[in-house]
Formats: sequence, C-alpha cells, structure tokens
Amino acid sequence: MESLADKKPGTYVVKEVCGEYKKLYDLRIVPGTRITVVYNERGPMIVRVGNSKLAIGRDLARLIKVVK
Amino acid sequence: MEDKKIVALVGQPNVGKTTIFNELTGMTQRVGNWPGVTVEKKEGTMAYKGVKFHVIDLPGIYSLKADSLDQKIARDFIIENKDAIIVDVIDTNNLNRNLYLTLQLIELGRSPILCLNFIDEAEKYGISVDSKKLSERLGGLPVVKTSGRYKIGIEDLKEAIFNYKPIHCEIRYSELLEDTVREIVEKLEKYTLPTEGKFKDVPKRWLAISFLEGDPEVVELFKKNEDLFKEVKKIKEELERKIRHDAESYVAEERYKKVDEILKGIWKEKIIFDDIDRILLHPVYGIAIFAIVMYIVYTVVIGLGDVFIEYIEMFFEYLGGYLGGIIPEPYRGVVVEGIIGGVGTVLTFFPYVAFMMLSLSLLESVGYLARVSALFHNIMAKIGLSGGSTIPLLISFGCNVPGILATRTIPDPLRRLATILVTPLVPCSARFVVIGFMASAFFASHASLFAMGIIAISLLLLVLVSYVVGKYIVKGKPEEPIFELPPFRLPDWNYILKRAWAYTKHFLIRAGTIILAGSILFYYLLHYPSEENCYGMLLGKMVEPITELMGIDWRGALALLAGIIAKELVVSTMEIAYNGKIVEALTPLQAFVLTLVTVLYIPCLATIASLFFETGKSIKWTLFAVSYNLILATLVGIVVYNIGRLLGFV
Ligand SMILES: Nc1nc2c(ncn2[C@@H]2O[C@H](COP(=O)(O)OP(=O)(O)O)[C@@H](O)[C@H]2O)c(=O)[nH]1
Repeated sequence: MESLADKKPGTYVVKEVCGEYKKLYDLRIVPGTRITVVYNERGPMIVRVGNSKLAIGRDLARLIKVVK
Repeated sequence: MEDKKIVALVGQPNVGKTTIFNELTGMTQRVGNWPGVTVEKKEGTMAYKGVKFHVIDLPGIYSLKADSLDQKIARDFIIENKDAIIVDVIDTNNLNRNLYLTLQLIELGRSPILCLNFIDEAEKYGISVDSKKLSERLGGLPVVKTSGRYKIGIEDLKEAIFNYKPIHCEIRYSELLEDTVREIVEKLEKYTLPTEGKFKDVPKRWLAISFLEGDPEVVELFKKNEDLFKEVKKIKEELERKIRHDAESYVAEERYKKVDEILKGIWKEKIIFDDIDRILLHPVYGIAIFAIVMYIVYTVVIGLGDVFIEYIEMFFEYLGGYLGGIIPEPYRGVVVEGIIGGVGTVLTFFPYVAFMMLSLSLLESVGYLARVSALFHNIMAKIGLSGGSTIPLLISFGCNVPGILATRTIPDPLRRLATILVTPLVPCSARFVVIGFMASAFFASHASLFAMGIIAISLLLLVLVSYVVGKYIVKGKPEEPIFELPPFRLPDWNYILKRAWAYTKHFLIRAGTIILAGSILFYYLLHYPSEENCYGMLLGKMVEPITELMGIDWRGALALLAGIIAKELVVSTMEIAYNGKIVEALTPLQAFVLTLVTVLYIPCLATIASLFFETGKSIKWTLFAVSYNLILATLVGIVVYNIGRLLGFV
C-alpha cells in the first residue's frame, strides 16, 4: 500500500492510519474516508477531506496509507 | 445567577461559536479564566421573553476526548453541569465532520440543540440540508439554522433555548461495537468503581465507549478496580482480534459511518475550491508574500499611528500646562511630572498598539494567519519550535501575555513549553513604547533604523535561545504538523473591531492602573525625603555596580527596576528621574544600551505570572525564563557597551 505522501493531486481512499496520531481521527482521516491531494510539491502537502482543507507535513502524511 | 439556567456553547474550532456567543449575549459578556488554568472563559447573559440565561462559551474542540487541555475543560464542564442546555454549534459546510462531536455529546447522555451555522455560505455554495429530517434521525433534537455573521436565525436559536426540554436520545452503532459495549457495561455493573469524583453520574455506555477509545482518564478510573480492568481489557483485545486493528480507530470509524448514514439523502456536500494556498504555502513565494504583508502592516501602523500621536502629544502638553496652572503647589509635581509625564507618555503610543492589533485581527479574520502557521512550520521546527508557535509569537508583539495564552493551541506539550519560554524575547508594545521614546529622543533622524536594530537583535536572540532550549533543555521529537486551513473570507469588521478592542483594552487598563500607580510611586521614590537624597537613589545605587558596566547610572538602574512592574514604567521613571532632560544626561551609546537592556531583561510581572500558570505552576520553568532573560540582558548590555566604546562611541 502506498502512502499519501507520494501521491499526485487526485482523490484517494484512506485504507489505514499507522502510528499513534489521534488527531487525524478528529479531522475525519479514518479508513474509508475520501481524501483529495490538492498540492504536493514543496512545503507542506495540501489535502482536502470533505469541505475542510488541511496542510499536512510530509512525515505525517507517510503514516496515511491510501488506495486509488 | 444561581437560579439562571446555564447555556453552554460547544463546537469545533472555526464554526463561528464566538460570533454566535456575541449575538446571544450582546454587551453583557465577561472574560475570565477557567479555575486553575489561564484558558479564557467567556460568559454572558441572554434575556429572552423575560427569562435570563447564563451563557458560557466553551473552548473550541474537535472531540470530547480528554487529550488536550481545551478538550478536558470543555468535557469536564459538560459532565459537571448535567442541567446545562447545550448548544452544539456546527459549520454546515463541514456537517459530516462536526456531527462527530454531536454523537459524542449524545453518548454522554446529552441532548444538544444543533445550531447549523454558516447557513449563508452553505446556501451560496449550494450545500443544502434538510433540518427536519436531520432532527428526526437524531431522535428529535432541536435543529436551528443560523448565520452568526449575517444575524440570521438568532431569534430561532433563542426560541429553541427558551423552549428546551431534555429528551432521551440514543444512537446505536454496529452490532459488533454494541455487543462489545454491552459486555463492558455488564462488567461495570458487576464490579464497583469508586463512586465519588466527576464520573459518578455519567452513562455506563459512555464509560465503555471511552474505554475502547483509550481515553486516558477513563482508563485510569477502570484501573482502580484491578479485576474489572483485567476483564474489560480482555473484552477490548477480543474486539481488536476480530477487527484486526486497534479499537480506537474502530470507534472513530463507526461514528463517521453513522454520521454518513444519518446524512444520507438530506445533506449535499459541495467542494468549495480555491487554488491560492499552493502559492501562500510555497516555501519561497509564501515567505516572500508574508514579508510583503508584514511590510505593509508595518508601514500602515506607523503611518496611521503618527497622525494620531501628534494630536495626543499636543493634548497632554496642553493638559500639563493647564493643570500646572491651577493645581496647588504640593501636588503640582506629582500630577504634572508624575501622572501626566508618566501615563501621558505611555498613552501617546496607544495608536500604534491599536493599529497593530487591528491589523493582526484583520489578517486572522480573513484566514491568513492560519496559513502562516503552516508556512512557518519547517523553519520553526528547525529552531525547536513548531508551526503552531508562529501565531503566539506574532500576538506577543502586541503583548506577551495573550501570546503565552495562545500557545495552548500547540498540541505538543514540549513544543508548547519551549514556545512559552522564548516568548519574553518578542518585543511587545510596552517595549515599543520604550524603543519609540528613545528613538525620537536620541535618534530622531534614524528612528526606524534604530528601532529595527533593536528588534533584530532581540529576534536573533530569540532564534538562538529557541535553538538552545530545543536542543538541550526541552528535548523531544519534533511534532508532526497538521493544520486546518479555513476558507478565505471577506473581513467581518464587527468581529475585527471586537477582537482588536479586546487586546488593546488591556493597554488602556494598564495605563490607568499599574502605570498610574507606578508613576506615582516612583515619583515619590525620586522626591522623598528630598530630591538630592531620595529613596530611589538608594535603590538605584544598589543595582548601579552592575549597570555601570553597561554605562547606566543609578537613574537608569532605577528605571529598569520600575520596568519589572511594567516595561512602560522605564520611560515614565526616566522622565521623572532625569527631570525631562534625558537627552542631555545620556550619550547615544548609553541610550542604545539602555533600550536594548530594557527590551531583553526580566519580563514584566504580568508576563511572569502567565509564565507561571501556563507552565503548570512550575517554579522551575518560571525561574528559568526570568533568569535567562536577566543574564542575557546583562551580558548583551556589557558587550555592546564596551564594543561601542572601543569603536569610538562615547
Ligand atoms: N459567512 C459567515 N461567516 C461567519 C459566520 N459565523 C462566523 N463567521 C466568521 O467566521 C470566522 C470565525 O468565527 P468565530 O466566531 O471566531 O469562530 P470560533 O472559532 O468558532 O469562535 C470569523 O471571521 C467570523 O466572522 C456565519 O454564520 N457566516
């Protein structure tokens, strides 16, 4: 499974959230959620979950495993 | 107050809770602190159809778990106030995330009033919601649509509060989760737990779910009965075996699944898309834009400020002259030189403070400040802080006290502590008073160069100290950043003015209280028993041996002592001590060093107090912050003075 950190802009589905970072759940990043990568080049990644936009550091994004 | 019903506003961050609170309570609100912590507590009164309600704005929280200070405060309040009417404020655009918190409130046995806010935006973007069906699917909870900003639905909300009756409401999750919860509840009925404490009245079902979620407080509670703990732990492990991952994310998933089920067919989501963040958060363009924004802010603040300052100066000059003529001799000195000299000089700088706070509130209101945190995370992480430190540090330019309070939004406790410890190095508006005063007295032709120099030195030291603190003193892994970026919004002037006023108010209050009292005190210290041989001199001379190394005599030393109470007092005390003839008494080098030392040394009393409370009443950390500042100031003062002399300045 690939991590969110390596993804080009597009919409993906979260498969698994590794590690112990609970705030992700509060932001609706749980298995089954659709997550859209808006920008992934320099600086933090920008993603969308529903109608909220998030900036995520790359190391954290590596913990989020997604599929197309 | 006791007989009034309590209304508590609950909601995730940025849902417009504060705006709704302002609409409900109007001018009656008071801001205090939650007991034991300095988290802001806003309270006010709402009157409707002759009934008065006591309204409380709880901190914005994502969930009810007790894993951050804000969440703990909100949750404890809800648990302890069983009869409170809970208004769950929701951003309609993000309904599917916000209902997560609603479900948790229901688990806790509450039946909140749902306030679907931002209805104006939702309608604009074509996001529709069937509030009647939503209410039905939530077991009959009252649902009201509002827009705090455009004052839509506020009367409906008041009516709903007025008519509120608690109802029994239960939301069931999947069979597997429900079975597991039931098993735990059975164990809870079989074994006894300590019955005192705040959890004595909460639903057992809630305790069971919270245990599965790994809520630290509930786990602690269960551990008090060893047999119980062993059995429920087994149940949890059994569940985890079945689902093949951890129970915690399972509970979260189940809630979101339920939310989607509830919203099916009655809420239409539309992605609101904007593109500009890829530029604003870009490590090169983003920082360039930030620099431009800050430059504009600085120019506007100084430009507009100067216009007003001229008039204020004229006013106090006139007032001093006028009062000097009519006040009887024994009081003339203290009024004209002490009060008007001291308080007046400080108040002259009010326009700068007001425009600075106005600009910050404007940037916050349109959503730019949220970007700044994300933009600066990498740089901040390099010096041992975090992106979340950026806003507290920016606020600290206004005043260190709200800056330190703002650190509570930093989730990582170690980064938060590091940020608190370095905050005093951010030059605040009180110190700008000193910088501005010295600049116009000694360096009139190079005033902004002088000011920039002092600010640059203190920010440089901030970077150094953060680095050292992060590396050797508050060690720990850097925190994983995640920032919510609220949509850009047109400025809401009502909100901005209110916000800016809340900050600047303190400046005025300080001028009228502590600065006034300090000016009078130091006036007398400098004139009794006689001007030639006063107590102030005695005090100043005690410190002089050290300050002399930086070229500062006992008068300057006394001003520095006064500045511990409040930094503005350095200016007013010098005005009195040097008899208004400071320009003749000090050389430019001495003035430069004195300003630098004032900016760097011991933080003011109010800052020390917030340091103490926000580090969890740690005497150790408070002493650490105070003493590193003092040592730094002394060293820098001595070094700069002596280098200056070597370079031929006097
Ligand atoms: N369009 C719109 N903006 C709102 C509404 N309520 C609040 N806002 C704006 O949203 C921003 C955040 O509001 P605030 O009350 O501070 O949110 P809080 O963080 O939940 O307390 C401010 O700029 C408000 O002007 C609303 O109903 N409609």
